[in-house]
Amino acid sequence: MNNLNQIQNPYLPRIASIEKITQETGDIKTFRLVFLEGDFHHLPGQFVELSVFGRGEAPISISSFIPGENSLELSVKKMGKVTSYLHSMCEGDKVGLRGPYGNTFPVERIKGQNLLFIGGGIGLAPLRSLIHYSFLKRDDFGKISIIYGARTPADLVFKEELFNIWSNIKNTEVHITVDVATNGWQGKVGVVPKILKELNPSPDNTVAFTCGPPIMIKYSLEALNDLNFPEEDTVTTLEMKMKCGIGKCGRCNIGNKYICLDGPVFTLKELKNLPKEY
Amino acid sequence: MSSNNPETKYFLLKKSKVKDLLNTLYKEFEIFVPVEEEGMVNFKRYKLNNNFNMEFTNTLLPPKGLFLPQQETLFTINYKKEELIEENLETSRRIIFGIRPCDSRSLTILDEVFKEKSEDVYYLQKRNNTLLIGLGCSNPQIYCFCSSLEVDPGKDSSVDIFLTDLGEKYLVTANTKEGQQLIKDLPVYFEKAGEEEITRALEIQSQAREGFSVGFAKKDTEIFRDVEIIFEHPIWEELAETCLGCGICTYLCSTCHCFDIADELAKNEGRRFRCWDSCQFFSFTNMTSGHNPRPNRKERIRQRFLHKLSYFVSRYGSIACVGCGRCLRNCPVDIDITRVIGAINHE
Repeated sequence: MNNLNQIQNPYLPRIASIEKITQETGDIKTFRLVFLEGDFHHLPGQFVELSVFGRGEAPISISSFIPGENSLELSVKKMGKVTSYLHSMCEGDKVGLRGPYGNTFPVERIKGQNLLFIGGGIGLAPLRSLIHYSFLKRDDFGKISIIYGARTPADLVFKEELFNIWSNIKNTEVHITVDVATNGWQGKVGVVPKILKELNPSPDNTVAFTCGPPIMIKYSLEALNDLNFPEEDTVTTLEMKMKCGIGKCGRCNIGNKYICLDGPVFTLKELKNLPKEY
Repeated sequence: MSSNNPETKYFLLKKSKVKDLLNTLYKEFEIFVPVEEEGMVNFKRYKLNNNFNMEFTNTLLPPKGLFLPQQETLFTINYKKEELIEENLETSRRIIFGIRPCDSRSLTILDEVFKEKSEDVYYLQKRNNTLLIGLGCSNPQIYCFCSSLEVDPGKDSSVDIFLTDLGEKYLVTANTKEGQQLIKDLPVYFEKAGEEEITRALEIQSQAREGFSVGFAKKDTEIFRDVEIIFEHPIWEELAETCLGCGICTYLCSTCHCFDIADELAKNEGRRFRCWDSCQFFSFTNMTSGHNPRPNRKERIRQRFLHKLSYFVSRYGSIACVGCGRCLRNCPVDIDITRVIGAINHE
């Protein structure tokens, strides 16, 4: 029999402090969290279960890859009970974290390849963990292209990085677009899949990563298919309702997969083997 | 004779001595016995000299609730001190007395889920602390179909001690070291079984597979391996027309384990708890964004059947159904998994 005293209780969150809050848009904030005790190791693509004690838990993808061993960022849209309360919290307040959970972007397999990121709205958040990672290990990858769009200029997240940091990194292109130009927007106008088609990126030695609203993902996947990106080099992340994060509570089940254990990262090839229930 | 000798695994226990035995075990164990109340038999905590009912077919509620309670505190939260207080998971040693072969099989199925990767300490602590004393079935009811699955109603080697009803007494089989030890420690209740009783019990055990009125052939479950075909089968639409979405099939299912986790907020001290949930409810998969991958009854009833008959099989290697028949018996609109399997194969 197992010595249960030696098994960690997987439902017990670790306490972290909110170190910094960045208002990204009207309803999206990025929270930099630091663990009070212990290390934190994760890879791009993973998520955590965030606790706001007394309100509940919500699965949130890690939107950063920060050198060091005990901090992370979560970019959170004010949506339900947990996230609304989180938005009212201040720097120095405490939250709980469980994880990291889930699989990761295929960081080893994509070494030496060009990376194409296609994000929409807050969908840039999980991609940003891999963007950070690839800039940290810049020489491991070829050309990095980022296509990102939101409804209006006010809905763009990570503006400082998008406009002033990422595009200045060598061999990196950043294309920003909005559905509707407001506030004197001078940049591109048009939905993300349209901009993707116009840019016409080559699938040669390139892996595409896409995350955003379902409708954007759908048309982006079609566009990538038209551009001859192979299904195994087209990567996306799935969203399902989750509670436990560790494959017990049953609700993120699609076919024989649990999104919390076997996802959230899937290639288009893997997605095609799943029942269409996501 | 020494109980280290593997030959001594068969004993006899007189029915008239069972209450005395339970009263003795009560000093050391928390015991759960089948008790009839208001016409329903369920496992209840045994208290000295309590009445119990060993003539039941099966309990209304499956014993899964003794391992995954309908509601269970995960930890409490002290807001002032910003502290989490862990639940004490140590329990006294427990015995389930009279668990049926279908229900003990359901526990080995649930073990797969609760042991995979992150071990679920709440479930496993209770599981490891519980001795199972099984009771063979010789009189299946009209809704039982365990013999269609990997369950032998007459014989159960997965429990620590197994009882076969011989009328005035039980033939007692010790399957595990823990079971053998319990018998060895209480020689006053257990006498050595003779050849004749063992032969009679083996006969009763082998006859138990007869007399089932519902069920299906094992090969009829193979069709569920092809998810692409079965997923689009018209039967899900038909079932959705009658299903009320009440979720009773999932609550009473001995292998359904889906749960919710939520916080309860009180002034100074709150708690996080989990409670049974059901894939038959809209809210089960409804996301805060408003997107719901299983928005209609059709998708939800399909999820229940395919999770059991297809997805679970390809993930863990067995069907997540033990044929206990509780869903058939209690469904208000008579949705019957055996007929669903039959219809998909033969209509």
